Amino acid sequence: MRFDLDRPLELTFALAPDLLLIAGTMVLLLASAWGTETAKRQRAVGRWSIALCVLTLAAVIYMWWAGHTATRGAIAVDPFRWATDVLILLGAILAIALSMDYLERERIDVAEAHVLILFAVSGMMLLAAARDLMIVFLGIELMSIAVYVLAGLNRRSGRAAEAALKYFLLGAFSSGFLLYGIALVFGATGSTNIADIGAAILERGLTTNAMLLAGVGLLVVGLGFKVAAAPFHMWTPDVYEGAPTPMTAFMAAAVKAAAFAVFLRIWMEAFPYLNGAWHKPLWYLAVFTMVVGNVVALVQKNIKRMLAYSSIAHAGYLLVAVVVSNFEGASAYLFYVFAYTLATMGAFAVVIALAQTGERGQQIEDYAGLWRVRPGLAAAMAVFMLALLGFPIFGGMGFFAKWYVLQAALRPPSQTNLAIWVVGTSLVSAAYYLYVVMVMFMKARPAEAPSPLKVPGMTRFVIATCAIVLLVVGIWPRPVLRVARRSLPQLVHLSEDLPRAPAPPR
Amino acid sequence: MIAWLLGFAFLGSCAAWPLSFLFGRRASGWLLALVPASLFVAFLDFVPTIAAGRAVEWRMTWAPSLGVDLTLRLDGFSFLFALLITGIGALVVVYAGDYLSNESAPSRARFFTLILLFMTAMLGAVLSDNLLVLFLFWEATSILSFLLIGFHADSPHPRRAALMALRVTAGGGLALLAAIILVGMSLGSYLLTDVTARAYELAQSPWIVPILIGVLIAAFTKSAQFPFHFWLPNAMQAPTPASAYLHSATMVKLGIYLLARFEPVIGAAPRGRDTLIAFALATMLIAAFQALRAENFKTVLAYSTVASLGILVMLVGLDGPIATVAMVGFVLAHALYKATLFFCAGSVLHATGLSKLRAMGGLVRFLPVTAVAAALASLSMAGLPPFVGFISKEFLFEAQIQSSWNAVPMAVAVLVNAVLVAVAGVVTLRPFFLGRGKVKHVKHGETPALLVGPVVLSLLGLLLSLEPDWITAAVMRPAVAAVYGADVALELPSLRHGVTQTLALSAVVVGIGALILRFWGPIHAHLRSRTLIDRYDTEHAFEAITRRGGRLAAATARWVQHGDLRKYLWVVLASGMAFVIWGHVATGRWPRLPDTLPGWRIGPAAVALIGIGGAFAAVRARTLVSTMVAVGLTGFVAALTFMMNGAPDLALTQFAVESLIVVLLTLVLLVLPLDAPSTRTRRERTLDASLAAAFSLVVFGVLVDMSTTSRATLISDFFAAHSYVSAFGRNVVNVILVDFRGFDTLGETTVIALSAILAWSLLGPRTSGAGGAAVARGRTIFILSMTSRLFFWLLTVLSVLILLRGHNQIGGGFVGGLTAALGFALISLADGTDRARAMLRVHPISLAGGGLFLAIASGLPGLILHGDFLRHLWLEIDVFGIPIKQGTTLPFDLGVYLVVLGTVLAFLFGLRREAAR
Repeated sequence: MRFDLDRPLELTFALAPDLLLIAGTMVLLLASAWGTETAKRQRAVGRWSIALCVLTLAAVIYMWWAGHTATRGAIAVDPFRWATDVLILLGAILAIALSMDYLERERIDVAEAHVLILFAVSGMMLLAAARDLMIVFLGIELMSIAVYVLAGLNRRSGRAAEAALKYFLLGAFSSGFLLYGIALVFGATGSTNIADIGAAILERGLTTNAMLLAGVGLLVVGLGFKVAAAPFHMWTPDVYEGAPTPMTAFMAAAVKAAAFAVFLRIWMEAFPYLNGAWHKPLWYLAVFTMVVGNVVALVQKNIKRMLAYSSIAHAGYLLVAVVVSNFEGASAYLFYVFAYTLATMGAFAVVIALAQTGERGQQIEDYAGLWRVRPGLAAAMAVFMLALLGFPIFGGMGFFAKWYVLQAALRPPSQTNLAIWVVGTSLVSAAYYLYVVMVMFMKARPAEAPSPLKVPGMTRFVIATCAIVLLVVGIWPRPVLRVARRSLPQLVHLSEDLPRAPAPPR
Repeated sequence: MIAWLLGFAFLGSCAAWPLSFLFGRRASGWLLALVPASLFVAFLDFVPTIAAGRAVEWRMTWAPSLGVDLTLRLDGFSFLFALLITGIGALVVVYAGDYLSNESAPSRARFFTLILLFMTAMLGAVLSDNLLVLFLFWEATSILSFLLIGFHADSPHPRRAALMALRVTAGGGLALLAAIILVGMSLGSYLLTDVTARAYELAQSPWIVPILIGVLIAAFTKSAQFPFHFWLPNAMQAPTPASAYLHSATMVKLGIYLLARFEPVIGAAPRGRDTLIAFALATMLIAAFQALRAENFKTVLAYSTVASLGILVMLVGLDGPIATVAMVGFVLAHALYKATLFFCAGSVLHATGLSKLRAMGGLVRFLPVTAVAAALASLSMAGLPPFVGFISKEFLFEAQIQSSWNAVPMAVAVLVNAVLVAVAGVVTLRPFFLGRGKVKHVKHGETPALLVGPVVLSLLGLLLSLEPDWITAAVMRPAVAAVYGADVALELPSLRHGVTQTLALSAVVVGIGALILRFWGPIHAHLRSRTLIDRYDTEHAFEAITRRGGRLAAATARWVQHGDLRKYLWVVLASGMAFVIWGHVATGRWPRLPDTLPGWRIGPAAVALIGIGGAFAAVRARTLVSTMVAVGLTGFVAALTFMMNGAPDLALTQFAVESLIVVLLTLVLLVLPLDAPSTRTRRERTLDASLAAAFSLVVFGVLVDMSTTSRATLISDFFAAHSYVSAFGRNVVNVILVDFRGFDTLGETTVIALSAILAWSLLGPRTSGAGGAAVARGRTIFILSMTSRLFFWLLTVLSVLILLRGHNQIGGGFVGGLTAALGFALISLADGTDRARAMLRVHPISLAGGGLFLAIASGLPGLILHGDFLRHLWLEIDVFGIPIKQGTTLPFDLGVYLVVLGTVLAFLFGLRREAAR
């Protein structure tokens, strides 16, 4: 059906999956706040959290399947939103599964960790749905506050505390930029609604309006911070390294996915006519991010830091989708994030599986000779590394993901130079991804190296799922490609007649 | 059909793992060889089709939306490669069965799986017509060869060699990808057949130069051409069966395959052929030189392979049909004799455990059949009749004579071929026939599995030359036709033609080669003493680049990622400033001043002055306290500015927030060293101050400019007009918050409540019960203690007032909550947090939670009565004759009030608990 978002009941229905998640999260919060802190309860809350995510996923898929649409309002009801929701929930489920084992091993009996993930997911789902800059801000804050805390979850670790504080301070800064940007955009266009902004720019010819352009600049800074685009990426390595590993995985996958979803929607719907002014800075942002991420990743000795920089590099590749801001870019984003989420989650899961208690054993050299002692883990990690590299066949869908982004860049008006940058920086990335593979398969295991701990069930499940899905989709990508191709944002301002006055009072 | 073959190859390689365990040490080589052997036989089935000049095609959509379709095509050239890959593959697997018999069972299983997978990838690469699929298989061969080279990974040498090979070839693969993208851009198609058919169109493309660079880099890395030739000799660390397969017969030929496929494009492009020939000549010379210097059996062979690959590249570069004929012939001849020699070398290494040629001798006694096979292969390599090598060399010289190039390639070719003759002599005579008695015993003799390969291939080298009709008709002619684009009549050279130019050249080559062979010892010793080249070859350059790159990356990492929060903030601010500036630059004009400047007024000026003063003080402040005071000052100035510009509500909120921040910070500072000196150096301060000044100037300029354009939004008018009519409120801000955008407000309230819960659960000790009880009371100030109680009640009453009058006058739930929290903060400052908690009685979280529920509940009446959540209802009642109009906005606002109060207190108490840890 077509929701009339001015009618609260229909608005409620349009937000049903989000509300379901929030309500369930509240209940779980209460459940985790009462009672003693034990590992058992932590696991129980974790299980319920996964169940809640699955339930929400079902709701999302139902909404998707039902094919609802909506009038122009504060939220979007379109396949792009549902597809993004699925990606976010997928990341969350994997992250919760990982953190159940991790928290038990590290003796952090904080059941709230799962609830925090769920809160962050609520924020992300709001972001996926947002068609109003105020909702964007709300979603970003809901997501970020929970993630700041997640980063500092391990109270015994000074590193984690530093990470959380840095993240929080810089994040607060970027929120300021974002809000100021929203205010200026509102001042120039008279609306916070993304579709209305786009219409206003077109109708009133605001493409050279100083207030609007400055506001957009501030928005880029705020969003660039959330997606970790260089030079706003500085928090990433410190935070990713310091945070508990499952949370790092969650941040690297889901937070990035959500932030990019909203970035794309804003760019496609609100600012398509500003391409003349803002194309070039975004172009440089993308290239700079790719270069910095890949070059600095080369010298990392710690696997978490290496993955952090690699995630920055991937933000650069994803920015290509924003730079082109077309439908091809949107579906490339969806496909890419799917592959990236699986590969990143899988890689971090292997890191968790191999780390010794207290986050030791995370140097790349610690993986020497892994192939001899844990062939399964080594093979899975090789798949993840190759997938991140975009290597064909052995990297599964990783290659198709990168190729899709390249295709988006080459669609006319083609960004050939950008595509060449993508390939060129991928070349650099080959050095560090393959180094991990080399260490695992070829270096001899030092005699004094501790034998890896037994991999707990959930972690094993996550690793296997990620690797198998990556490989299977790599061989048979068509269904996923078809879904990605069809899950486009619905651009209201293109389909409906142009702007209307502020909503008539009830 | 061909797709089935490919699928069979893949399944066969997957099955190799379990099967090799099943069949055991002796049988697995023989039985697994059935996979490639049956493929070989199956490919022979295509002979009639291929000989008739047709191609077999097969298509399957794979990822159609991405232009990646599984398009397979078997034409004459692919057919030649397919036969080589499967045929030699079968012999390699048989050979490996015995060669690896000392290895552990899993290790053998790994080898068989890898080598068969490699065969599959090679087949896929030569069969695919779609460039992207070709690329997929291309990269697959890179990674598989990496795993094979590093098979004996326990020592550092194979590891280094493997990683080097992988970096070089996989990197080359990405260059190929870039070229493919550009081909797709230029032609709109990724099909190899289109590339060949539309070569001239492609040569006109604006991207032709990058395309060629990409293709050449890919081919040169794969086929070990200068300047990437160094990885191949290093790759000799692989087990010999793998060397025989990868580094002689198949993988290194993939680059040649690609070049041959792109030959029409290279030919059509300006200076394409020149480039190819130049690189080929450089490769040939370097490889010949190094072959003379090399000491190890396999290294000598490796350099001779590099030289042969150089010859092949040169043949691709030469024009004319005979060049193609020579290239195709040389591919075949080289595969046959070089694989044989590698097999023999492997047998020798395995039997003796020696690797240096110098140490070997007289092995004919122990390995007679191997010696004969090596001799046959060497004769072919030396280009003596009646071997295949002779025919291919004749064609080589014929092609040079007929091509339009000058004498330089010819001279180089003569020289290099002479060296190859010498190499052929050395690798046979030295280990097998000369130096009798050098080797006293061998670990084992010849086994059938070790002999099949060399015997079959060396005999083929003889037979194909003696009975050339079948191979010419079925394989060579179609292959030449596929590359050249037209059928070329082949006339095989023969001694019967008498002395021709080419024969004379061959004789010269053999003569020089014999001379070199005669004086091999002195030449070798002399060249080995020259070490200059070891320091200045491209291998060192590559390593130096890798090292430099690493150092550069490390420097970048240090420069970008120092971990210093202050610098991070600096960069974020500076970049933010750059973006704002760009935003203005994009308007295409300079900032303007408004036409009419506002008049000079003393009030705003004074306020601005205070603000600027505060800012300066903040920049100069050296201790935490002074910084706090200075920043607080600017905050109050902001609030004053709001007030003076008609936003009293905002001003009130700002005041409350500022006060609260001061109190909260004070609480935190109580546990920090108050007068700790600043850690910033003088220079850093200056930098910070200049950035702050620059940014504020930029923002000021942009804002002034903005005030010149008329604002588009008149939304405030809308809200002002409708505020009372539809929502019965006169305070527009409050009405917006609770009514027009009630949903948003509810969302924000939820976030605030959430943060309260988080703060409570994460701040302070994790053990329950210990709580704040143990907090040592700090010094309390008597006067503060006395007055704080009074202020507390004042503030509480005030907060309730602010809450109640919110809808019509200045105020509201948010400010009210902040004001109330201020009261509690004062109490805890004066008497300690415990006292404040005791006065609160309720748990702050319950307060926040209750507030949230109240806010949500206030929307329910509207939902029930009007089906509209958060639609506020109004009721007018008379209280003592005074009509009071009250609506569900009050509980909503009260909810906000409670949430804010609870949250602030949760932070307040949490911070104190944290400090007490």
